[in-house]
Amino acid sequence: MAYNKIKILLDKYWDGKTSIEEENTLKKYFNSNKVADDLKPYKSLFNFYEDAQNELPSSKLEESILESIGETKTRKLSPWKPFLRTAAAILLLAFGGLTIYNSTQNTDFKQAVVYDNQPEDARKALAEVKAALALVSNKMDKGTNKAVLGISKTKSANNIFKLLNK
Amino acid sequence: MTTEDFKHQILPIKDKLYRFSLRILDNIAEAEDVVQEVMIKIWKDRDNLARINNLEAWCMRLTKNLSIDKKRNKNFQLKAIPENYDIAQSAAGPQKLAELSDAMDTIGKLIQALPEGQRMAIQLRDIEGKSYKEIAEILDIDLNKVKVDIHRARTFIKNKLIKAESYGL
Repeated sequence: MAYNKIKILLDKYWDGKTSIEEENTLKKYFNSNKVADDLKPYKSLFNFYEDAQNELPSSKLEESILESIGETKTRKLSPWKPFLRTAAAILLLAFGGLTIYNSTQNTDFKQAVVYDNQPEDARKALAEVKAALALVSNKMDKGTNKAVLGISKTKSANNIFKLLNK
Repeated sequence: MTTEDFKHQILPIKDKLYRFSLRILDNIAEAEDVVQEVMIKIWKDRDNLARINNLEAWCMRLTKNLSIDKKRNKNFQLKAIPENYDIAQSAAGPQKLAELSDAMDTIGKLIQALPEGQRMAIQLRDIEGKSYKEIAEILDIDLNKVKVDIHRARTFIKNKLIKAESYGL
């Protein structure tokens, strides 16, 4: 490439008036071993552009993108998920319904209602109610004790973690 | 769009997107994150891609927006040097400019020192070889602004190179 032509193209380049073809001519010239001495200060610029054009991301990026796309696809194409959700909801409702039904069939409850309608047996009914409440209270105490035990265990675990983190 | 279509039509653009994001963020890991984000977004929107005229320009614009957001949201610490950066006073020194690798490193820093708009325009024109019209579309700016940005960026680089040469003499 004639030196004069390169000089003209270079001036056009600095002014931002070169076409892509002319810029490619400049890149080709400056990436060769025949650069005139007075133009050598600009060689590194065009070398940089050439190198930057070939800069690539790591190979892991492509794998990672394809993996992400695969995950999205699997999520979209899973046909059993809605059915499984519905079946789980039905089972849960059936189980809950049966439990409530069984609890209302309790004979003690029936007796309490009967006693309530017969004032002469009020004392007996009161004794039954007290016994039932005592039973409930006893169960609640047991539950509370278990909860307290659970909280104390959690606190101990937290203390251990704190010690480990120090 | 099938996975195979994506692999052939979209995935090859990732290299250009990566270089563009890298020029904005100046951080390899962050640039790769942006590209992955763009690719996933494209895949999720694959049913609407037919209405886009220039898919590559659209991807580049998405990359630009996500990169700039990332830089601003995370208060990204750019290693860019100030605009009054002087090659002659850089750590490499004028003598070492003769060594190509140092010179390339210096040019890289010089480009990184450009204002963001000029840096993106130079990346798209001098590295990716895009037309002014495409650059305007990607950067979402006026065609004349593209020309002005490229002219200013090249003048800045030229003056720094001349100054470095004079200092060496």
